[in-house]
Amino acid sequence: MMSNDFIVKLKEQIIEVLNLEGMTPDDIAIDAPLFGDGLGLDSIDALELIVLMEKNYGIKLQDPAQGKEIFKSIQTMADYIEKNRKF
Amino acid sequence: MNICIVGDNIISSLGMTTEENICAIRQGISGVRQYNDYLGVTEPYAASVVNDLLLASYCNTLHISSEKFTRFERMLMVSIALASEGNRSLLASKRTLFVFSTTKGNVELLDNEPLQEKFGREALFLWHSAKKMAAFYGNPNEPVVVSNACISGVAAQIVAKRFLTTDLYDTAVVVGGDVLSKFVVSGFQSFKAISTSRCKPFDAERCGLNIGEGAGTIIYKKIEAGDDKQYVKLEAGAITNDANHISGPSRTGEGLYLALNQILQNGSHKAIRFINAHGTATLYNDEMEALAISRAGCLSIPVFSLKAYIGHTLGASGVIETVVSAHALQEGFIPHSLGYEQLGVSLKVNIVTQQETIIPRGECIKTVSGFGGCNAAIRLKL
Amino acid sequence: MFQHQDATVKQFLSGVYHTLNLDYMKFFKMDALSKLGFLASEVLLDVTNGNTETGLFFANSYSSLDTDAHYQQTIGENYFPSPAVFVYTLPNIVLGEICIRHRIYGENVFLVGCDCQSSHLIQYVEQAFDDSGLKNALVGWLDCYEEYCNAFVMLVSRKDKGSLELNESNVNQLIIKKE
Repeated sequence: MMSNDFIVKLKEQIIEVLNLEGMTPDDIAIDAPLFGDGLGLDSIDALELIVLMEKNYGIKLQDPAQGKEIFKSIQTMADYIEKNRKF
Repeated sequence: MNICIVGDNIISSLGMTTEENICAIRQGISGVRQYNDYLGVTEPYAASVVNDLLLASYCNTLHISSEKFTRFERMLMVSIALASEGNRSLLASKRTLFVFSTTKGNVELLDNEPLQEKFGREALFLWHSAKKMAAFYGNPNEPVVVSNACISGVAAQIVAKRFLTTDLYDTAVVVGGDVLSKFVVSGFQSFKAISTSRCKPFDAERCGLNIGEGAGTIIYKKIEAGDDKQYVKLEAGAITNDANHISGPSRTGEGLYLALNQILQNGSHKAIRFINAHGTATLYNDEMEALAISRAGCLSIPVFSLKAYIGHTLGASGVIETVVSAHALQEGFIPHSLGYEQLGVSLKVNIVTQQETIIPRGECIKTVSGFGGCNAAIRLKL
Repeated sequence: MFQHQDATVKQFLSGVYHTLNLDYMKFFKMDALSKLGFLASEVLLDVTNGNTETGLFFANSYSSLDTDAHYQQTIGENYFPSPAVFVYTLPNIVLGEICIRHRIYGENVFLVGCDCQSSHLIQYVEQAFDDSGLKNALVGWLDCYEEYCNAFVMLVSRKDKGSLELNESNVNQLIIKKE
């Protein structure tokens, strides 16, 4: 069972790395789409999330196309990290 | 009055002179190699590198000291010397303007304290580097430095053309250059934009670009119409913006389409012998270019990219690739678009699958696109 | 127009953003140079519906050195190259940001020179108006490095008479007045 602490920490990391000014973890719903209409993230943000996964969790994503599924929402991203994290 | 190319040079992995580069291109030779753990980047990448022994040998002959000038500066200075064929008085004239094109200049110094000690921190300023280089050739004018991402080399030519339209100058020496660096390679790798093998522009299997380094020089001179028949002339140029995204190309090819439209305004499509495309072999760039070419009504015109021969030489690319275009017109050939096998863009662009012979006459187009959503196109005429 | 001696560059730029009452989240992803140019353009330009007759002509002395140093930190001992920082390691990106905001498709050029009183930028803009269909241009100097930032930007329009004519000596007088 994924801890709420981890979800909050992940949201904080995303807010910091993507410069989402003025946002707090409470502002991001766990199932809300990150791209498109949701948080309105773009292709550079997706690449930064790939860096975040490697830097903070040791996960190396070689094919950026996988990102589409992984970064659908906070939930999908958290699930992927839990399954594949090296530390 | 027309703006004519009276001298040129290319320095790349294929050689130190225009002749060496054109000869290699005509033989289908590529200077792109795979590098593993090179320049402090452990992830493998394919790149195109200038031969340091050859560069040193030319610097020796031209008295360009490696104690006084950085590698970046030496490459550009050798290029200027070779393009001008020893005409020092032309370079030193008050009526000659130097226009430099570079994206990163002496970026190698950024994390290199010993090099900063040797050349001074001021070497990190593009304008300072430009001033030093122009001064070496005795030029009294403050040089212009254009830094517009990957369109810099073509933008610099358009800038030069505008300055030549004033009463102040008769000649413009346009010099473009960039060196291979950990800074740039790592950056493009973070965009997952670099291929580990030789790139395949417009191809179905394309998977990214090759970074190149090099220098290119074009000497433009104002010549009376009538006296200019043997020269390739810069007829028109346009710089535009996609107004869409700072790194991703426009999905409608807006900026490049507008640039092509502008330069084709007074001319006819029929006179265009070929388009020397940007063709970096990334998924999005090539698709965008194909769309822009189609929207501009140029689908039947032969298209090629030079990136598999010498990589993407950044600030040098617009200049180097214009030199190749000019010589292709003069020598009567259209280069094979190396790396291309099967159409991988959604529009039927006419990619040159083998070298063609043409009558040495007519016009051609060079297109470029870059980060920041910028695009540029020029039309040359012989 | 805006001046603050004690704030950091980041605070200063955020301060101007809030003073202008802007609502543009992408602002906070920009580097200092792009924020500076973006704010200057907010003061001088309106959002348009797709404009090919406005040009952007800027120059500076530091190029993108400020952001270059930031990017360099992401490829040091702790090697995690940042694409979001790398994209700003080119001085012309600020032009892209302004074009996106104001739907400008026209000519955009970035020059690097040693000081804002150097003549190339103004001469170039004069020529650009002469030989193209340009109707307006945003012209200026944008410099940023560590805790220093400075912007001097003009909106130049094609007009028959009146207003201040664009030429080197008028521009240099304006710059001296602001010092």
